[in-house]
Amino acid sequence: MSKYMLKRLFSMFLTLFVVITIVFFLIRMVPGDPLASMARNLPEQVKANFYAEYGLDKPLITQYFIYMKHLLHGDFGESLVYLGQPIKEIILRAIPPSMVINIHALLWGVTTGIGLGILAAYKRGKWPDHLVMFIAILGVSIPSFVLATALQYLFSVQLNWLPTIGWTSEPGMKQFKYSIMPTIALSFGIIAVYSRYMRASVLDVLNQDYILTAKAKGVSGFSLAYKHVLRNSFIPAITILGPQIAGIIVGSFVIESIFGIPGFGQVYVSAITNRDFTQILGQTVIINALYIFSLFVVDIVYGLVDPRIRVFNK
Amino acid sequence: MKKILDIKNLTIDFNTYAGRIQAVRNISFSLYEGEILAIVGESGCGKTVTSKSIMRLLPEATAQVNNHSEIIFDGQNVLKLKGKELKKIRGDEIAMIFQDPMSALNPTMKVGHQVAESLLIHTKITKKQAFKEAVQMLKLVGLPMAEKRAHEYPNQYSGGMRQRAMIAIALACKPKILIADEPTTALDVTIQAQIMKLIKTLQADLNTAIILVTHDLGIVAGMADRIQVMYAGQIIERGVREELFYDPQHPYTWALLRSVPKVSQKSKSQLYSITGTPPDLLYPPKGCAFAERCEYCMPICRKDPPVETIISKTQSVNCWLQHKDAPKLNKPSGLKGVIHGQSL
Repeated sequence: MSKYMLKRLFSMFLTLFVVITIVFFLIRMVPGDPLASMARNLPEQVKANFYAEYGLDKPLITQYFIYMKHLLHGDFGESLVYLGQPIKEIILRAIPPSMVINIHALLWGVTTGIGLGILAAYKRGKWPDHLVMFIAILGVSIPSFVLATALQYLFSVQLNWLPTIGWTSEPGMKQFKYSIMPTIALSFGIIAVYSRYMRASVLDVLNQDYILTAKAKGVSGFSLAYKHVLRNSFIPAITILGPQIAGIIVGSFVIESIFGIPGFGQVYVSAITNRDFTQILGQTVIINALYIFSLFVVDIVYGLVDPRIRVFNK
Repeated sequence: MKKILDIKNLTIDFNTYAGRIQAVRNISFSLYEGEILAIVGESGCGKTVTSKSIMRLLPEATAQVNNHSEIIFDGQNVLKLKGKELKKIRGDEIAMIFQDPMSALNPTMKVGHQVAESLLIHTKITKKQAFKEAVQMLKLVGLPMAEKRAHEYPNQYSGGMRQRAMIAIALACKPKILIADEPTTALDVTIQAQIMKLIKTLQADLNTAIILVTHDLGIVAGMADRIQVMYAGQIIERGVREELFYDPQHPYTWALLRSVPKVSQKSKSQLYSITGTPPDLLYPPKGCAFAERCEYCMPICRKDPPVETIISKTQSVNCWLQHKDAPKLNKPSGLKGVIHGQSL
């Protein structure tokens, strides 16, 4: 077990290292720099001072080593655009709003999706199945930003029930009202994906021989569904759950921008338009670390559900 | 002997996109207490469908059992049973072993729990007692280190061990009838012999009646008391073991027996096989279903279905050759001897 863990840990760090390196050089190849977004016509001397201040005048490879050295000490550096603001603080500020919305969306989306998928499989070919599959196709094919705009039009402009955009960092009724529409917009796609996955998976399991064995034993109804069908159907759903858990913190670029939520995604998008190199890198590191870690968690959860792919014994 | 199961006019169709497949066509037979009844025939002749229908395990969406069909067990028609009554029979009175032990066990459940499950459903015992009983059952079927193995998952078992576990599951509640659907097809030959021996020993101990579905005549020779030969959804010949092996009457039974390779056969000689394929059960033939492949086919065979001819108290056959006007034939030689050396 420990050997497996070590191997896994090593490859996780290697992946992270490779990603950071690629992103570091990649964003520097993109035309534009942080100054361009703040002031276009600065005197050359001022520009030179700015570059010198942040070390951008040094050769790229030297900059890379300096950055990696700081990163190893857990220092993400300072923003190039919001002067004097450490990246760490910007990120920590942006995470809570993203988490609120995404936890809501994930809980609502996954439970509803799984429920609908199971329902559709058990009622295969009947109207509940057709209804669920219709919802699933809508959910997959309508982009979340279209749905978001439609929701804003309906609930804010026409009915005037909910605020169009905005956010408050205080938890409570007001925050909840702000979070309703983004949650729905985000969860619709999740419902679509999970209901399809679960339906296919349950149908597959229902056709397995061991379900016949269980029926021949006299198992029926709830205990057949719970002990024999569902546990075996959850495996594919777990695969897609990992990246989505990482997504709780990472947030959604599009939805956060549409609803004006100062979350991780929105901050990331503005960092890219501003060419705020340190911030882009900092957030990239966080996103990647989360994805890599979530995949590792998925591998362990797999084993809890399915003994055939258990990576180590208790 | 007491009749324990009585099947009358069983007819089963499958509704498919291509049309209605007549998988089982009006068959009737009985099972007696403590006997081993073998149902033999090639793939697609309706053996498995028949055996599954006894436990009502056919897919309800596509399989359609004719309204006049009856499966009488314990004075009641199994086909008419609902929810609770059906549950009582499944696993407790009638149990089943499936063909492929690799896929017939739940991969995410400990084997001990899978054996204990039917005990928990059908008897009033605690979980702990049921598990203990399950371990006993696993010991009985010859699983090595049963205490430890009961806590393992099916993927940690070999094929033979899994089939032993399946037998333990099936026999946990000491059923009156055990349906074994090709229980050794997926196993290699040495394990086959062990498993068949185990089934036979346990059958004698528990006095369970067995319906053995198989296409392996070697197994039948060693185990069965009575044999029924199925072809294209019908029973075409039936009799006790000796009758079927020493004095078979139907050309299909002859062909089946001739198809068994013999040890005495010369190494270069070609193995016998039945030419042609079984009829399409979407459109079963008007006359005898075997007519197209029969070496002794007569004009009447294609026109009208043969009626059942009683040969002895136990043997009967559906074949026009039994008619008084049919030519007298010499049965193909080399049929005898199949039974020798095959018994366990």
